[in-house]
Amino acid sequence: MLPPYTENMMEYSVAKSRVAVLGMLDETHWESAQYNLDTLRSLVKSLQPDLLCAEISTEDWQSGDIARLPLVYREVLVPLSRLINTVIVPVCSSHSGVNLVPKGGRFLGFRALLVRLLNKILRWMQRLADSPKAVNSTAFGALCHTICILTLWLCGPSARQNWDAAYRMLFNNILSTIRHDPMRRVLVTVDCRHQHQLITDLKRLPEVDLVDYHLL
Amino acid sequence: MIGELALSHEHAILYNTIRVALGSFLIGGCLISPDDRLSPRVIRILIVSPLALVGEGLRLLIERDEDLRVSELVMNMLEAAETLRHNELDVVTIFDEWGGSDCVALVQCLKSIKPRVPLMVISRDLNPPQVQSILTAGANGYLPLNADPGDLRRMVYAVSRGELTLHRTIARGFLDYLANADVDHSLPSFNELSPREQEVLAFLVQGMSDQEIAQALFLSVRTIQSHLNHLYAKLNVHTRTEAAVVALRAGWFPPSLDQK
Repeated sequence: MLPPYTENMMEYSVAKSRVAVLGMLDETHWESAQYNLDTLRSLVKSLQPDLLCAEISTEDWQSGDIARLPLVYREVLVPLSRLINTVIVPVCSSHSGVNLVPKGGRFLGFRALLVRLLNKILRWMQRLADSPKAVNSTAFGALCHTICILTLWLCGPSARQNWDAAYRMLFNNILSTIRHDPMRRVLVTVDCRHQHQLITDLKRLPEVDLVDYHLL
Repeated sequence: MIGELALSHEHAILYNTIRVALGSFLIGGCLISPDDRLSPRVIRILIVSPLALVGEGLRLLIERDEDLRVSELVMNMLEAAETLRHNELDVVTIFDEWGGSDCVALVQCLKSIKPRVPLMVISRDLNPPQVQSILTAGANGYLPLNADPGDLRRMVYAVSRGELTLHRTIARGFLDYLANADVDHSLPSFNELSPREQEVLAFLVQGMSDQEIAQALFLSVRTIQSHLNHLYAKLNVHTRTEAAVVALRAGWFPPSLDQK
């Protein structure tokens, strides 16, 4: 007979969901895309996840108006999901907190200038990253995260709070999706600026078996 | 309600308003959505028709849509079973020349070979008991022989998605028949189903496919299929059509022609 803790561990291992995080270029997708949508389409088609936690707002999704969604969702992920039996779960309450703009305080002009510069760097990086592989590379992820941290620091406490609140909502919705339907293969598509923190947080969850997106 | 059905002959209403619950066994539930047109997937069809001319006619009508392809055309039950066993097919279309229990037996036989392949029957027999027998045997759709060619293709699309569809000219009589049928007291009570199973059954009775139910509940398709399997066991049935018929006959979900 197995000791109790071993049984518990076996239960955990049985009930685990297989989860992968795929960073997306959310903002640039509102513009003409440099990003290769065909590659993304092939990738998701080959993965065929059971659930796709998408960083789109519940309101936009429930409105049924696909035109309100970012390009990558309306052109690729939503049509594809119907073809491959993947269920899309909107996990973002709204877009608030995503746009980082410094407000009030001293040195506003200088800080705003720096934030604009960082945003330009981020946009330039996003234009260079023309595929899911590039966006999800270690170097891109580290740079993106660093720029995001710096921007948040420059934007001040209220912007940081908004950003954190939006992230917390996103994370909780992902978590409840995973717990609501355990033992499934879940692909999470999020803004690449959330990716680093999300991976760190998901790794801590006992019910999640976090894998690289291409291993899902 | 009947007035609404009469209006549904108009083309515009067909496209915009007829997603009707049948339980929405109405053909309106199987309109071609824009997504079908976007899909590159070709639907492979097996036609079973004892009459060669009818079979070829069906092939011509179906293949007017470039996304529908008749892979095989067979003329008897044995060939149908063998063809289904050895080929990858998406939909089986049966022209019911035999009538009565022979067609029911064929449906049961084909469902036992490939339970997941949806099946539709085209027949001149519009008697509700026969329609019920065919649906209970596992068919997903029932089309009268005098239906429009467009209705034929729309029903192929609908059953390929796993939806339950019944042509509008049959629906009213069938619902009346179900409403007047005796309640089967051997059924489990509705409360014996879990809340999730009740939800899934409610969507199923509306004619929704597994994918649509999954999307509505934000659960994976596999989870929905698991709930369906539990439902089938509790209701002692083998197919979604049987489950829907049982639920309607039990009066758990009153037959309705309201829009979805």
